[in-house]
Amino acid sequence: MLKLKVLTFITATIFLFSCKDEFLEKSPQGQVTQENFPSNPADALAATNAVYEVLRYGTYHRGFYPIDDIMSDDALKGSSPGDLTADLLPFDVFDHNVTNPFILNWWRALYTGVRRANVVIDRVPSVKMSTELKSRYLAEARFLRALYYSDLARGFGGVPLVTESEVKTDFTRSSLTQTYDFIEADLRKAMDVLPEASEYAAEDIGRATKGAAKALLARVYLYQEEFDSAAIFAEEVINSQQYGLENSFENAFRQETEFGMESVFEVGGIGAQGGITAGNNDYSIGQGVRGTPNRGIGANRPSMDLINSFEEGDPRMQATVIFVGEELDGIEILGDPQTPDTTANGQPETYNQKIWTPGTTPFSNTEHNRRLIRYAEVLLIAAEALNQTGNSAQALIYLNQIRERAREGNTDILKDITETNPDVLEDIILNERRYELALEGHRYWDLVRTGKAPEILGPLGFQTNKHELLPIPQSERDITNGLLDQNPNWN
Amino acid sequence: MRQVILIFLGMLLMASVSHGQQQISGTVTAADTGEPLPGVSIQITGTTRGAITDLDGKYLLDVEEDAELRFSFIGYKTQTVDVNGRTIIDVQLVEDIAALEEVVVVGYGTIKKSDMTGSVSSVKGEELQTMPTVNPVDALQGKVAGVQITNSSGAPGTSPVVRIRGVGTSGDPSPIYVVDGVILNDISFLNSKDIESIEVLKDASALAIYGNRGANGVIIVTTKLGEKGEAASISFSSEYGIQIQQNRIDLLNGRQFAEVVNEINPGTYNNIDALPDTDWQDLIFQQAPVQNHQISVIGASETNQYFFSLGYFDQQGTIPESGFKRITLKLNDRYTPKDFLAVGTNLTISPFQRNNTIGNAPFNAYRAWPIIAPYDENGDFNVVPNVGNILADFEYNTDNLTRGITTVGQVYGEVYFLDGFTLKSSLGVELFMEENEAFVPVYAVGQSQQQNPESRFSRGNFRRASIIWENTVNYDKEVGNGQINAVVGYTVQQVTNENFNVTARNLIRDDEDFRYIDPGNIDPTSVNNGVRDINDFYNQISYLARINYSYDSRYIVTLTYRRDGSSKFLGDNRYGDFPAVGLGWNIINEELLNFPEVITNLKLRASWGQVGNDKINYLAGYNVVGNNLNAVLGQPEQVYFGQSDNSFGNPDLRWEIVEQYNIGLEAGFYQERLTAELDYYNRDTDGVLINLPVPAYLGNGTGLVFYNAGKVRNRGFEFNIQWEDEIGDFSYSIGFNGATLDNEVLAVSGVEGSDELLGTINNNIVSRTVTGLPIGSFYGYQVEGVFQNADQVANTPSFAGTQAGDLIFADINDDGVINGEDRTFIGSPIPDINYGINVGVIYKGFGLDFLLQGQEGNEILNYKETVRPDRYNFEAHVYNYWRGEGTSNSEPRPTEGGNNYRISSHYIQDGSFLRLRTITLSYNFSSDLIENFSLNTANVYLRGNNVFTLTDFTGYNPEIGGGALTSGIDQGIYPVASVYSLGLNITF
Repeated sequence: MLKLKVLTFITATIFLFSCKDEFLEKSPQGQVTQENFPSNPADALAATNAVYEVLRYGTYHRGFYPIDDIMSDDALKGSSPGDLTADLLPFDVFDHNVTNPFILNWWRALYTGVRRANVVIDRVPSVKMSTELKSRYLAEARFLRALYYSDLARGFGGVPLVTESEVKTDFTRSSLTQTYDFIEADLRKAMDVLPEASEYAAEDIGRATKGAAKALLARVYLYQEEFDSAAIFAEEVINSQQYGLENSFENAFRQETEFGMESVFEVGGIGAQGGITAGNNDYSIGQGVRGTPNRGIGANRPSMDLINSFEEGDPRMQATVIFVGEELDGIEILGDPQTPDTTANGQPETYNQKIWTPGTTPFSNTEHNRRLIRYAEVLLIAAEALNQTGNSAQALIYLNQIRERAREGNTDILKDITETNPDVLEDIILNERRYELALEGHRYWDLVRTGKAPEILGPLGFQTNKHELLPIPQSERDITNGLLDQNPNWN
Repeated sequence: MRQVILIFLGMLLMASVSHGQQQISGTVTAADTGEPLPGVSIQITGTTRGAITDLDGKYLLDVEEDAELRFSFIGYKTQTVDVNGRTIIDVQLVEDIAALEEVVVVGYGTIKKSDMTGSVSSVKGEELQTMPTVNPVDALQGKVAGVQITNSSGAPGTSPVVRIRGVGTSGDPSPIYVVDGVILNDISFLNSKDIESIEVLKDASALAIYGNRGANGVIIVTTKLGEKGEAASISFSSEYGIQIQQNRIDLLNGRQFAEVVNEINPGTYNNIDALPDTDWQDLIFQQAPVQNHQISVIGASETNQYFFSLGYFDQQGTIPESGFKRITLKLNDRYTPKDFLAVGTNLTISPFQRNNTIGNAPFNAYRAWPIIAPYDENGDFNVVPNVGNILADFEYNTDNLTRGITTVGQVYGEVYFLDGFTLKSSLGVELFMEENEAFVPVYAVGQSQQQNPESRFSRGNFRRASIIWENTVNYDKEVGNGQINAVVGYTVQQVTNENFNVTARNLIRDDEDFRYIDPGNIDPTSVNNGVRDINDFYNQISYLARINYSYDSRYIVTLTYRRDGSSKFLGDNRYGDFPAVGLGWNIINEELLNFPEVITNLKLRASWGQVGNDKINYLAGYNVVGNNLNAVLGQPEQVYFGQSDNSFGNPDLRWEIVEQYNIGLEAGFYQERLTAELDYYNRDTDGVLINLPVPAYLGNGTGLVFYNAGKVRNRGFEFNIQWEDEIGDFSYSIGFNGATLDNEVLAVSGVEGSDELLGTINNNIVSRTVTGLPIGSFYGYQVEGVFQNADQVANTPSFAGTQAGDLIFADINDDGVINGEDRTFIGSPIPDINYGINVGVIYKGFGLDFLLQGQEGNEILNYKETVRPDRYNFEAHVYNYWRGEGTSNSEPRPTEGGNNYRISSHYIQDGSFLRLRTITLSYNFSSDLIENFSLNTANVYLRGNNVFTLTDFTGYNPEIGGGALTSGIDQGIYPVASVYSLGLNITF
C-alpha cells in the first residue's frame, strides 16, 4: 500500500506541477523592440543618425543606377554592352515599365528614409532630454523627411504621405500639391531650428543645416514654379555668408573639399571594407570605372550629346567625363575589355568623373561623398527664379559667378552673359545648369519641368503625358490591392 | 571448456571462459512447419552465458549437467528446458500468435497494427542499410508512400529535403523527428545501423498527439535494444564506396562558344580554331571515396537490456576540398531491477567535421568560358571573365572548416502499477554545438574582380540546446471483449539557440598557427563580432490524451487530444487545441461474412483531425529595432551609431492548422503473401504561415512580415502492394508503392486583401501563387515560337527592341501589347505522382535486390540559364540557334540579356524521372563455412546507388528542393553522385 501512496504522490506532483504563465513569456534576446525605443537621449541620437544612413544606400541614389540621368540626354546605360540590358537599358529608350526593379528600389529606399524620420518625429518628443538637442533632432529629421519626399514628389508625383511609425496599409495617394505643402511645412519648421553649418561642432559636420533646409526649399519652389519664394530662399542662402564656390569646378568634387564651402548638403562615406555598416557610400559603385581600374559597374555613361553640348573649351567637360586612356591621380584608365572604345555610332567608352575618388578597388570608391546640394545649384536656382520674376540683372550676377569660376581665369572662354531678355536668358540658364550640374540628377527633371522634354527627349522615346513621371511600382499596387492609382498612361 | 578469442581487423577482442561439464547440441525448429529456426537465443538461466542458433537452427553449448536452458525467439513462445544430463536437446518452438501481431510505435506508446486507426508506415532498421549516407532518412526514398525525399545537394554531410503528403506551408515543410521520445528537427547525427525501426505518421489520427508540431508529419525513430533473454551478439560491418559524377551538362565547347559570340558581336574572335577548349566541369569533379564502419553489441539478461555501438562515416566530396567525417557513439540501456520498475537511458554522441568547399563551383563551371585555359604559360591562374577562375577559388577560398558535436540523450523511469498502468517520466536533452573557422588569404587573379586585398578570418559558434521533460501514464488492459489502450501526459520543452561570430582582417601571418583573433595579430579595428539568437528560442507546455478502444478485434475507435502552449505566439494565440478521431473496422473478423480462404486480412479505417505547424521565427510577432544603421558625419568622417525601427512583426500570428481526413483500406491474401494498402487523404492547411512583402511605403525595404495568409489543399491516393513468395530455394518479393498528389491553393489572403503570393529570386518573380493553382506555380511568358522575319515582328505584339530570331511571347490578355500582364502559369514544381518499385530475389546464399524510384508530372525552371547580366558560356542547345527564316522555331538568335531571357516557358523543362536508386548483389555465407570462424552470420555485398536516371531534364539532377514559393528552380547545384560500394556484415 505504501508503494501505491508513493505512486499517487508522484503522479499528483507531476500532473499538478503548476505551469506558470511566465514560462511561456520569452522576450526577444538582444533585440530592442519598438515599444521601448527610443527611451533615452542616446536612443534619440541613434534614431536621428539612422535617418542619415539611408542616404548612403546605393538605391537611394535613383535606384542604384542613376535612372534619371540615363533617361536624359546626358547619359547612356553604360557598363558592358551585355550587362544590365534587361532592366537598365530600357531607360535609355523609354522602354522601362511598371515592374522595373530600379524604380521599385528607389521608391523603397526613399520610404525607408521617411520611416526613419517618422520614428524621430513621432517618438523622440516623449524622451526626457535636453530640449535644445531634442528640437534639433526633430528638425534634422524633418529636413531629411522633406528631402526624401521631394524625390518622391519629383519622381512619382503625389504620393502616400506616411507620417506615423506603425503598420497601416490603407493609404491612398495625396495630390502633388498636398505633397509639396507637406514638404514645405517640414522644411519651414526645420529651417527655424537648425543651426548654420558653421555653428556645428567638428564631429557634427554633415548634419542638416539651416542653409540646407532653405536651399532645398528653394529647389522645391522652383519645381512648383513659385519663383518668388524660390528666389527668396536661394538668396537667403547666398547672403548667409556660409558658402562659396571652390576655386575650380573639378575641385568641387574632390576628397580635399569634402564638407567644404561649396557643400550645402553632402552625404559622407568611408571607403573601408564592411559595407554600409562600416560607412560605405554606395552611390559611386554603380557608376565607377569598369575594368581597369576596377572601381565599379560603369553605368551612367556620359553621352556624346553631353560632351558636344559644352561651350568650346569649357574645362567642365573634361572634369565631368572620364575618357579611356586618361590618367587620373596617377591611375591610368584602361576601362572595360568588353566595351568597345568607340561604338559604331561614335560613342566613346566614358565614365562619370564627378564620382571619382583616387584608388583602384571598388570598395575604396565608396569613400566618395556625394554633394547633394551644391552652392553652385543654389546660385543657379537664384538666377533662374530672379530671371522669371523680372530681375534679370541680379540673375546675371549669379549666373556669371558660375561661369567665372568655370573658366579658371581663361578669359577666352565662357564669356560673361549679358542677355537680359528673360525668355532667352531662361534657356541660357537651363543650358548652364546642364554644364554645371551634369550627371548630378537634375537634367531630366529640368527638361520635364521646363516643358522641353518632348522636344529634346522625344527622339529617344519620351512620350508626353507619360514619361514626366515614373510609374508607381506594380508590386506596390498589387500589395495594396489597387488603392494606389497609377500615373497617367502607365500600365 | 572452450575459449574463444576473436580478433577482427585488430579492432575487437572478446574472451569468454567457462567451466563446462559437458557439451550439448541440438536443432531448434518451428513446431508448425518443422523448419529450422536460425537466430534463436539460448540462455543458461541464472547466467549470462548462452548461444544463438545458426542458419540451420543448430546450436552448440557447454553447460552444467543440471542447468536449465531458456529458448527464446521473437514471435515464438519462450520455452524452458532442463538439461538433465542430456547431450542432444532438440526443441520445437510454438508460435506466439499474440506476439506475432505486428506492433507499431506511435506517439507516446505502441499499439497492435490491427488496432490502428491511423495511417502509419513502418520501416525496419535493416531496410535502411541501402546506401552510404549521413542521414538515415535518405533510405526512406521510394519505400514509403506519400514521403518525398529530395537530395538536392551532393555536398558531403547534407541532409535531404523531406516532405510528407505534399506541401501545405510556405515556411519549413519538413516533418519533426522523435528519436526515442526526444523531439528534434534533424536526424543526420544518427547512424542508420543503430536504428531498430522508423515509423512515419501521416494522418491526423496518428499526428494529433503531436499537436502544434504535427502538421508536416512526424517520423518516429526507435533505436536498438536487446530483447529480454537475447544472448549477446556482436556485429561488425564495413563498407567502402566510390562516388562518381556521371552526369555532365551539355555546354558549348570553345569553338562553338566563339561562333555564338561572333554571332552576337561580329568579329570578336577571328581565329576560332586557335582558341583553347576547356571543359570546366571535368576540372571540378573528381572521384571520391565514402566509407562507413560500425561495430555494435546487443543483448540482454532478464533484468538488463543493452545496445552499444561505435560508428565511423567518412565521405569525401566529388568537388575538391569538401568532405564530411562523423563518429557515432551509441549507448542504450534498460534496467529492470524490480517487477514494477524499469529505468533506462538512450544516448547518442556524434562528433563531426565538415570541410566546406565552393558550393557554387558547378554553377561557375557552367558559366565559365570554354575558350580560357585554367592556367597561363607561367602556371598562374588565368582570368575567367565575369565568373572567376574556379580553380583559383579552390586554391584560396576553401580554408573553411566546421567542427561540431551532437549529443542527444534521455533518461527515463517507468513504474507499473495497479493492473495495466504504466507511469513514465523522461528527461531528454539535445545539445548541438558547432564551430566554423574560415580563412581567406590575400590573393588576386589578374586585375579582375577575383581578389581579396586583405586577409580575412572568421570564427563562429552555434549552439542549440533543447530540454524536454515528458510525463505520461499509459493504460493497457483487456476488458471483456474489448482492449483499452490509453495515455495521458504532460510535457514541457525549452529550446535555445545561440550564434556567436567574430571576424577580423589582416592577420600578420597566413599559416594556421595564427588563426586567432588576438588584437596583436590583426588589424584591431577590423574586429567585428556579434551574438544573436535565431529562430528557435521558445518554451512549450503541452497536455495530451489518447484512448484507443478495440471491441472484439472488430470495431476500433481512437480519440486523441492535445493542448499546446507555445511562447512563439502572443496573447490569445498562445494556446491551441488539437483533436482527432479515428475509426477502424477489421472486416475480416466479422464472422457473419464468410470470406474465401485466400483473403487473410481486410480492414477499413477512417480518421479526421487537426494538427498545427509552429515553425516560425520566435521574433515574428515583434516589431524589432535595428542596430548599426549608422550615420557618417564629422570632420574627419566617422561612423556614428544609429538605431531605428527595422522589421515589422505580426502580433496576431497563430500556427497553421492542418485539417486532415483519411480513408484507408488494408487487405491481405494468400496468408499475407500478397498485401495491399490504399489510402485517400485530404489535407487542408489553413492560415498558411507566409512571409509576405508589405507596402514599401511603410519603409520596410525588402523586409517581409509573417502572415497567416492562405489555405492550401493537398490530396491524393497512397498505395502499397507487396508480393512475396518462395519456390524451393528461390524466394522473391516485388513491391510497388506510390502516392498521387493534387495540390491546390484554396485561398490567398495575406496583406490587406492581396490575392497573390509572389516567389522571387534576386528580385525576379519566378512563381505566383493564386487560388486554383498549385502553390509556387511558375509564372512567366508563354513562348509561341521564334520570329522568322521583320514583317512578323511588325505584325505581332512584342516588346520594344524585338527582332527576327527572338522568341514570340503570347499576348495572353489579347490587348495587342506585350507587358507584365501577359505573364501566365507556365508549370508546376509539384509532381502528380511519386513512386518506388522494389524487387528482391534470393537463391541459396545469393541475393539481388533493387529499388527504382521516380516521379512524374512536375516541371523544372532552368533558372540558371535565364540570368545573364554578363557573358557566360551557353548550354549546347543554344548552338541550334535561329540562323535566318525557317531555320529554327524553338532556339532564338543568340543574345546576351534582353527579352529572350525573361522567365518564360522556354526555360521550363519536364522534371519527371525514373532512377535506379539502389541495386545490391549480396552473398550470405552458409553456416558450415563460417562456423569454423565462430561467426553466426557473414554477408558480403556489392552495391550501386543512383546508378542511372532516366529523365529529359538537362541539369545534373532533376531532384530540386527549395522553399514552397521557389521550389523546382535550378539555380546551379552541387550534384548528387553515383556511388559504387563493397561491404561486409558479420555477427558473432
